[in-house]
Amino acid sequence: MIRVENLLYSYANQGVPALKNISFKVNDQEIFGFLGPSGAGKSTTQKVMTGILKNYQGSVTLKGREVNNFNKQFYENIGVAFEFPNLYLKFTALENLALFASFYTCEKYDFQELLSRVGLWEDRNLPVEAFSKGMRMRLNFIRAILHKPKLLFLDEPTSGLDPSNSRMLKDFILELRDNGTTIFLTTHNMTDADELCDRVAFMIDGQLPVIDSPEKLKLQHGRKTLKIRYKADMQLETKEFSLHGLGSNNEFLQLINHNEIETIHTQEATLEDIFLAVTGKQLS
Amino acid sequence: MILCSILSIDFLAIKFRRMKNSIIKNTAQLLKLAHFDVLFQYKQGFYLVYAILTAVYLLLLFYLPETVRPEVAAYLILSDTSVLGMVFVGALVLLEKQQNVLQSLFITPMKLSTYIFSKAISLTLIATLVSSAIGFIPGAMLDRCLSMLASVILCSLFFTFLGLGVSSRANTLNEYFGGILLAGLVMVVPLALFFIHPVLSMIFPINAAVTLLITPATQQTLVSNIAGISVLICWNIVAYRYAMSQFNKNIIHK
Repeated sequence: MIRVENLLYSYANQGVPALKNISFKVNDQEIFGFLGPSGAGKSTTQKVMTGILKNYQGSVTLKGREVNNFNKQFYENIGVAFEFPNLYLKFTALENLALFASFYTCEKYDFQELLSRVGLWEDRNLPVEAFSKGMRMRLNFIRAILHKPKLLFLDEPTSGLDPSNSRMLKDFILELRDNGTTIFLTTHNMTDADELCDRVAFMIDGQLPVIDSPEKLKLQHGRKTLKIRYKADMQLETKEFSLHGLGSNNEFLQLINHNEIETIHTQEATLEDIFLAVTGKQLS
Repeated sequence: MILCSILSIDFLAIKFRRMKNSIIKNTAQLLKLAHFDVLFQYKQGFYLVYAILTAVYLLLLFYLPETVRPEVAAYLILSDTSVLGMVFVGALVLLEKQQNVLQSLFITPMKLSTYIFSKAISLTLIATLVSSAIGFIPGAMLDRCLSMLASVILCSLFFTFLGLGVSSRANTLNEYFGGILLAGLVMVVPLALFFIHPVLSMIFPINAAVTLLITPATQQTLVSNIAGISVLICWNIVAYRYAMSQFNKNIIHK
């Protein structure tokens, strides 16, 4: 779906390039996570990919066609939900959807279906200025997908959402992927990236040192050990065992057979740990 | 030979059909967006402000002697379409910037030209309604209603384009007012030329608009009206191109 090769981009007033020869590809029906701290170049990459920034070097193709050569029809196939809601505050939820829907000629979702799905149908006639941040984020999300885009750009989609709405939105994103949408997700949120992304790329200072699936990264960078918390003599104790030969490890078998176990966890790395290890920088 | 002719006629017919469909599609999109712009202006209270101003203008004109009514009406209409038009278009764009909607508008299939024309049409609609209310009161401009409407529409479009160009650079009302004050001065200064060389001064938009407004029907000629309208159309093209380039530079490809 997307192929980026040796992408180099410099802003006119800055000496150092914002993007330094980055290359990656995003497959059809994949959720590709772009992780990195503020100023790393994530937004610049997204702006190039959405055709906003034109004067780049290298190649950015969508379905084999260079982004620079796309006309306005190009936007019939893409949807973008920015980190901060982009909505007319005096308009109602329905008016906002109707305004944006008027730009597209392609097939669209039914507004009632979308609003009901994100729990906003009852509030459809309220002006957006009366909405909470979470409600605005949900409306912003459905505004971006109302024209059934084949390629969806999401920037911190769960920011400001309570846990239940965050879960609902993540399920919605996974459903879109399963129904054929390719999703480019920009986030600081490691839990979101871990739960949603088929592959992630770490961006730091305009470069991409790592691109892989979260599962593989966690296995590569984790310790192959198991940590057990258990009660012994009314005291809470912790012990770590190597996964190698665990089934025949007598000490481990004794422990689990004769003690009250509180928790057992394998010690794979979190994405946050891996990001820190690879880039030397914190994500947030 | 005959086959070639048939093929070229077919080719032209296809091109014509495509062009017609494209025009219908773009016009439909423009009208839809203009509808939402009017709704936005209404919800932001612009129509209330215009209604109050119109009521004040009408009261003022009713109490003025009929001898000065046309001139005062002309200057009220001119200030309404130029100053208010520019202030309102600036406020519209700044509100859209504040609500972060511009970036999402321009990553849709909607063209920049549709956005610019929609703003211009919606504001020109309200300016025309207000100007008609002022101009068509007894003793004002009933005798020259066509030249008045032409002046109002072209002047309003021109100042909206100009205001759009300036507002694309501004992030605050103060920055915007600084910009339109400068643009306004550049536009108003040529008015002085009117008293030195009335014919030559017609090449400036404000002078052409004033001439169309204040010249009584008995003194108007077809040539002078066509000249005034042509000047305003030319300035509109310049202002439209300015608005397009400034939006491309300051908003879309920023």
